[in-house]
Amino acid sequence: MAEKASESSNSISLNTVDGKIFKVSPTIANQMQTIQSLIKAYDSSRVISLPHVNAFHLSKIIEYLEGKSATTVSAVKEFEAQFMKDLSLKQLKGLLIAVGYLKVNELLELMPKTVAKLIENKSVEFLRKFFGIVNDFTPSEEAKIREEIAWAFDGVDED
Amino acid sequence: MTLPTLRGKKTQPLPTLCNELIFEILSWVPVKSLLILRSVCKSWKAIISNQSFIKFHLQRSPKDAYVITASKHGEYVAAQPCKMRSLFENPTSISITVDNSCYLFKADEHCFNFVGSANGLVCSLGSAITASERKIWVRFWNPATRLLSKNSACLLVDVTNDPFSYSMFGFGYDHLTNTYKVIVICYDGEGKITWVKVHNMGDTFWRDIHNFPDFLAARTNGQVRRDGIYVSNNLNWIAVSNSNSYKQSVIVSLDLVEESFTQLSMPCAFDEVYLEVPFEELYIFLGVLMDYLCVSYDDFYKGTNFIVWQMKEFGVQKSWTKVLNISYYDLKVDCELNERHLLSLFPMRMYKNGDFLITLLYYDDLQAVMYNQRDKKVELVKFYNSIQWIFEIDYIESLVSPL
Repeated sequence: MAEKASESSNSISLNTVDGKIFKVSPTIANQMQTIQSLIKAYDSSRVISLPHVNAFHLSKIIEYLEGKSATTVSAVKEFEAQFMKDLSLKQLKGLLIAVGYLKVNELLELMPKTVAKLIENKSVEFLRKFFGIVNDFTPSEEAKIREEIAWAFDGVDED
Repeated sequence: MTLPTLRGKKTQPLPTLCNELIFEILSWVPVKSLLILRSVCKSWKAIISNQSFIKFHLQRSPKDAYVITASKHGEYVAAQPCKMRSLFENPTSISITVDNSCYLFKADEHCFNFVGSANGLVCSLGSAITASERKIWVRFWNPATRLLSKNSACLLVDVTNDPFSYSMFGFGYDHLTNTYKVIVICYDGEGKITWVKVHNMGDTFWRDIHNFPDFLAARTNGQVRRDGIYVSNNLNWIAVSNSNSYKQSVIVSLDLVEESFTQLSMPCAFDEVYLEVPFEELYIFLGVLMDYLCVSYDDFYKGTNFIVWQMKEFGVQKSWTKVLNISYYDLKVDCELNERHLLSLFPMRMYKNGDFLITLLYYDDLQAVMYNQRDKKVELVKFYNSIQWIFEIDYIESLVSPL
């Protein structure tokens, strides 16, 4: 009990862009490098605002860090697989941006691999839309690249 | 004109993924998809073409075991890589069709061979012979990107004085200078080395390597692969030491960075076998099993067993470990002793549980068996039946350009 009390008194408050306050233990907070450096820079009793992170993403990151620390190696693998499976491609993208911003190293290793698997057979048009990328090729430049590897387009999803 | 308030509570920057994250994601994407993703935008194309990305991606390329297969289609031979898993474990899943994924060459045009593979590049060798000279050239092929280089500069070998000159080849990667190197070792009818040449991929010439040790090429039967085996930055060949009063089989190893030769000893138990057999008739193969150099042979005259050793630590004699010893009886090899030279066995793959996939070539008939070491069970493996040749080349997919 005493331990729990001291942990909660040390807990760090994080304020997401949509106004939700999360209280996390220093162990969890320190696994987010961006927050770790903010704690060092500021008084830890202050509420840390995260202008680029929403409540859903932060709750997922906390869920991951807590779930991961609690179990054995094989259980972690299983937990990770389920964690990723529960997220849609859109949610993954948002979460990855948050993870990149907060610098959660564990997830920075795991998530790109998951996203890669999901985008493997997607069409170029889908990916541009998905990643919010503007096509900066001229039509002839694009046609040339496509022509060089026309064979590779077999088996690509129709969006 | 009023500027939009960037600091307003409701406005947030459009969330995008930074380039580092894009780099990370793309590094896990297979080659074929990456070729398509080059057309997403200029910055993605730049990432995918970047040399450090290509290296990074290569390290993450799945280490599936591939072999290069070749099959005859009319007057053409079509070569393509095939996952060993699909070839032997799930043969119905593959169909070999002749399209531009294949490396096609006319069967009667010139000799062909695949010398080796490194970082996703496969080196193919062509040669043509006239009364006075032999021409040797190579091409580099990346089956994953389907890019094939032009013929390299020709190496001309004068055969007027020595019509019985032969060559051994090798292909590997010099990680220090980021160079792909082809090695040709030429030897005379006695097996004595006459010269060693090297060609760097992209160069227009062949150059000499001096200071090769006094060894004799193992003059084995035509079925035996004489190509160098690339392990731990070294190319390795079976050879015969010329320094002792009796001829001892050794492994000659060329460090591709230093371009210097060393000799490695065979497993200790090997010499007894060797001494009884003229070396022309000894069937020794070098290979790679689970990233280790391995040597496999059969005790020809005793005619009982097929044996495989693995060098657990490259260059360390003590680390030779016997990983397989199986009798022909158990292997169900049915071959008359006088036809023994028509049979060659090769350990294709060793599994973590100690099982082996072994290929047997008898005349032109290629067979494969799976040997379960624990239960001593041998099972004939069916595989795609239109394949005539399998080159046991350790190939992985990469973006490395052969051009």
